[in-house]
Amino acid sequence: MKKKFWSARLKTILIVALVAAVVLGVAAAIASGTTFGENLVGTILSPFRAGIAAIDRQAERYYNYLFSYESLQAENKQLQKQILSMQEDVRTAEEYQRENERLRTLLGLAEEHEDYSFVSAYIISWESSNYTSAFTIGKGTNSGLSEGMCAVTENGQVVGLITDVGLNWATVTTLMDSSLEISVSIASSGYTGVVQGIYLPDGASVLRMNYLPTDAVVKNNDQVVTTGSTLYPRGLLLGYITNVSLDETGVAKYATLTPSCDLDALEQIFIITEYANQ
Amino acid sequence: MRQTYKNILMWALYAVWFLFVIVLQTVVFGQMRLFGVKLSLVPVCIACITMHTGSENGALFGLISGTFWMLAGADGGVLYILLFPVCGAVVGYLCDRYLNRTLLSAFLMSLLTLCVTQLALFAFRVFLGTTPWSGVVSVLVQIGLSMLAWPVFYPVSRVIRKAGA
Repeated sequence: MKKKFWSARLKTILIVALVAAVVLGVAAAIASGTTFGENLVGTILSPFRAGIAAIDRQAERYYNYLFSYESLQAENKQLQKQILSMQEDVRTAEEYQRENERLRTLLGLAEEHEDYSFVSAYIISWESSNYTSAFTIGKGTNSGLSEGMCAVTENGQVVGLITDVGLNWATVTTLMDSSLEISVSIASSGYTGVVQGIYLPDGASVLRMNYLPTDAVVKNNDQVVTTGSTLYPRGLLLGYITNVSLDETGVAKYATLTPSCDLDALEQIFIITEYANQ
Repeated sequence: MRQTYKNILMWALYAVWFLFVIVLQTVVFGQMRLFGVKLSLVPVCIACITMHTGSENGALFGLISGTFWMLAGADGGVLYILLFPVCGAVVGYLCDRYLNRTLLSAFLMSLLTLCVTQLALFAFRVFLGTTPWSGVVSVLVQIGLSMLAWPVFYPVSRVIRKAGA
């Protein structure tokens, strides 16, 4: 005899699912930080993610390398082995050089702002949803990170804020995400506003600076910087103005911005763990 | 006793396979946008696995994987705890009762699971007012592109199922 769909066991499982969804949903809503479950799963996944991310980076390097390899092989087959070895050295050196350049630039930023303390971290995974812009880094509370800390590039460009943190991982929500609102000002004129990411129906997202006064005189390519708060220092570059219009109410202006850094090209970021809140 | 060990091996392999897909989804495909959308591989993986498990075990696998996926930080996480067990139960039941377990059935079941999960997530976001209705085109593109994973995921799930037979 064929089994009925609504068996007692299936009903039990679905009721458990409903209860689990409600309990975990409420726990996530009222918990001030990362829940125990999220921390546990994140801690388990972090080494796997870091491993696959390293393999992914290596595969990408090999893929890029293959194009130059083909032309080198045609040019001189006898030197193939030597070239292979040299190319490998170059790849390694380039990696170190890139890291060195980033750290050197960061040193400049650190000298400029002596009150800043940084923790560097590599990106190990990206949020898979179309509606959020976030990524996970391979450092967490064991490196002194905590929720609300600001992530920047080596040039001091804002990337986002840490929104979840576990033992050896942390989630950085980027400034393109609609859940993040950052107080900013226009560097040249001093007009203040709030920047928020907006998702467009075609899957793209833009930055929008709201609450500008109607009489504000704003030019394209004006720099937009943070005004500072308990979460992030003032004066960090966030983006450049590309367009200004009146908002839906007609009583305020808004500006669309282009981010100062290319978020898709990020590999390593720096978290500001301490700064003097002036 | 021998069958018990085989079953344990099968479920362990399904768990590893699911874990691998989660890591692949977040590390490799999380950063990649094709035609403006990100692929959604996890529902396809769930469909291909629960095709072989029956409705009750499918629902249980859906519950555990949905909870894990939610705790791993998936967007709209709580919805997955409800949707994956329902999809697992329905897919398992349909394959037990009405469908032969073939590549074509896997295609239909993957499509069903993707449509249910992605459209439910989209409807929830529209309800919250965070996404406009016009975004449905992106969801359909996402479903279409994510279906590319089905010819790879189904054979893997079938091989794992054979390990437990």
